[in-house]
Amino acid sequence: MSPDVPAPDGGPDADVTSDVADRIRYLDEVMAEIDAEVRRRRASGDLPAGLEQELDELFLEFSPVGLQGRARLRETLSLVDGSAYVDIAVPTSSNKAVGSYVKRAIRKGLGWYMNFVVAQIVKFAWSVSRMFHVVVDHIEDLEATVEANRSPDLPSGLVPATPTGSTWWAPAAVDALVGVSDRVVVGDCGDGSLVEALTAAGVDAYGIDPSDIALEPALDRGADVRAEPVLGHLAVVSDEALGGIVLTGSVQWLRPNERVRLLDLASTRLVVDGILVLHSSSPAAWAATASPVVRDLAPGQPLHPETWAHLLRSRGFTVTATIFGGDDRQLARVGAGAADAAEVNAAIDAINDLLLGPTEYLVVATRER
Amino acid sequence: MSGIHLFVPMLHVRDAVGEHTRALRDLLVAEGVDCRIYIENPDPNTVHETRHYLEYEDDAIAGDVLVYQMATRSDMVAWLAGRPEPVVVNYHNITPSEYFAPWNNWIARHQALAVLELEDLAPTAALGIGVSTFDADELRRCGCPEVVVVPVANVRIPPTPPDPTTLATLRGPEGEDGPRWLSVGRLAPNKAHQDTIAALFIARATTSPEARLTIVGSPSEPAYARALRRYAAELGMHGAVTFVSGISDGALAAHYVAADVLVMLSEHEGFGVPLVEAMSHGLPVVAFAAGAVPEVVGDAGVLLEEKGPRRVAQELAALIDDPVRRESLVVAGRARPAALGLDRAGSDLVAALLGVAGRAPGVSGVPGSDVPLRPAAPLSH
Repeated sequence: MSPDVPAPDGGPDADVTSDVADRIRYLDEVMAEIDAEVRRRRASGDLPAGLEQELDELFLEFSPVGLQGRARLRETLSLVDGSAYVDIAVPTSSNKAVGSYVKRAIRKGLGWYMNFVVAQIVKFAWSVSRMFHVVVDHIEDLEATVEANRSPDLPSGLVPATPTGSTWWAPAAVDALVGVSDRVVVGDCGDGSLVEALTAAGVDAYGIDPSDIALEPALDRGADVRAEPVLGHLAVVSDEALGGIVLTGSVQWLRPNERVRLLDLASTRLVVDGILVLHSSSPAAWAATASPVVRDLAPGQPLHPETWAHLLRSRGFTVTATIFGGDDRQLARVGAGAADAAEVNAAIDAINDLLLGPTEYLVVATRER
Repeated sequence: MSGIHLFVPMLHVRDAVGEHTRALRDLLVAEGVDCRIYIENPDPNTVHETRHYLEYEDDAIAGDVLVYQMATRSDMVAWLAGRPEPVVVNYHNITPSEYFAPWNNWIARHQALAVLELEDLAPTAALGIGVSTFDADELRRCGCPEVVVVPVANVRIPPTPPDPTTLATLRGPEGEDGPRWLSVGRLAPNKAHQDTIAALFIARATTSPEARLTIVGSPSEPAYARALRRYAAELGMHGAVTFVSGISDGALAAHYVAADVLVMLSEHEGFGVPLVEAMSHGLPVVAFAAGAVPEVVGDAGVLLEEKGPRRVAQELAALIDDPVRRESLVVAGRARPAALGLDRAGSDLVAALLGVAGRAPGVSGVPGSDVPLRPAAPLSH
């Protein structure tokens, strides 16, 4: 028993004792449930899909010809070098003395011929091998350059969570997608509330999110959601299979090349007339409100809505709406009766315009071609 | 006095072919047959008990029978094919070259040449002896006119007792009770030890967080052995996977006794000595049904038709958690060596060779050479 628990002596402290004992019992029950759940998950083999393939690929990385991931290029190259040699010194040993003599005679007699042919073969093999060395040198230079330019991944604990529950932009997103007959995917769907709002509005919607933990509430409610990153998911969806795509969350801090790939995928996975809804923080709000570590380590940062519109138009979209919203961080104007109200309000307007615009925006676009 | 002499490219200790060759020599000598082991390349550990094969030319006596232990290529084959004495091919299977190609170009080429040598030698052999039906079928495919099946002669029945010191160390202190998986076999690519490591990873993540694996086997392909160690470390199982090699028979027996299950996911096995060693020690076996494994294991172990890590982990957890099934496999396993004829494999092998000697031209003084050749029964499934 815990030393904090008074002895059950039946005196005035009896109620307190009972209360503490109940709490301890309840705690034990909760711990037992957690243990049972851990055991259940382990027993069910509840591990990520594709794990077996990842295990195979991991072992292949250690194989000289695996050439995946951190490929052992140099090890493979040494195999090529080792094979690019032809030995013309044919063994002449024999169990019979005459046999050895005959073999030596043949070797000597054909030596000039073999030398001529083999010299060309070896020259060719070494040329190929040398070319591989040049290629490997180039690859290693490239890897070094890429590695030097690579920004570190955001620590998982610092990745800004997709807002849960109702958001200011959810009704606008639903309005934009109502009436879409093909499937609609909500990227970084978090707790699935937007998926459910779309479903309630008659849209055939499902959600994806890379975080298992973020999805748990949606899964508990039986929503159609799955744990996948947006890029990975769109990469395996067929062309023109979606009627709508909602992008939020990580779309704001994608690397520039990933952002281009995302738009390319979105433009081909949507049907013609399909709707793309993109939600983002404004760059100013991101700079003012995101944590310094996230701002410094994020591979990309939010774009202005005009930039998204430009990128979308270049891929055959027409931007049909840009809606601003989010926290209203603007300063309130002073009343007309205040001293120097006109000058003060002019200053407030200037500050609001230059520094304190809406924190978020929604871009709605339609695929035209 | 003419004799029955054994030829093997290299004679290694604690190697399936090497130990089989030494056991056969001892059996023949015990029968009063003149028997020497000839090699192509000397092994420092056995050099005192071998002679170079070209020295046989001075030792030859009319009526000799030459027995070639075939598992790899050797210059010896062309030489044997040119000899006038009857040649018996005792075939232990040639590991296909594709397993080695990614790891060791030289060995891969060696194995490819070995197959060509077998095709040259088999049609002229006085007798082909496969250590399993799987091997015998390969001998027949290569044109061997007469083939019998006799299992390997080096499986000790009853099994070697475990070394008590090793056993005490392996059992460790009370409390370390996670399932102990054992895998025995050279660290060569065809043994697919990486599949066992992957299955252990899944088991530790799901059904058996405390499971551990010991792999006993010499690193015969160093690049592959290094890759296995890197793989285990990369999966965060540095402490859960132990590699052991060069141990005595008693220490190996201790590993069999201390383990909970033998896992063999090898993709190519000509016989699979560790399977019968494990079964004779009362250790249940879970094995991938490749090569000769199904005929060796029979109903005395768990045979897997596919070996995805989830499936293997699931089978092992089910077996370890089911004492009744486990006990039935232990009982069946202990009876398996006798069912395979391993208890009489030595005498069958000697009888088969004496039968050939009896037919050899110029035979003189080989004891028992009037024993007629009797084809051994195929291994039962």
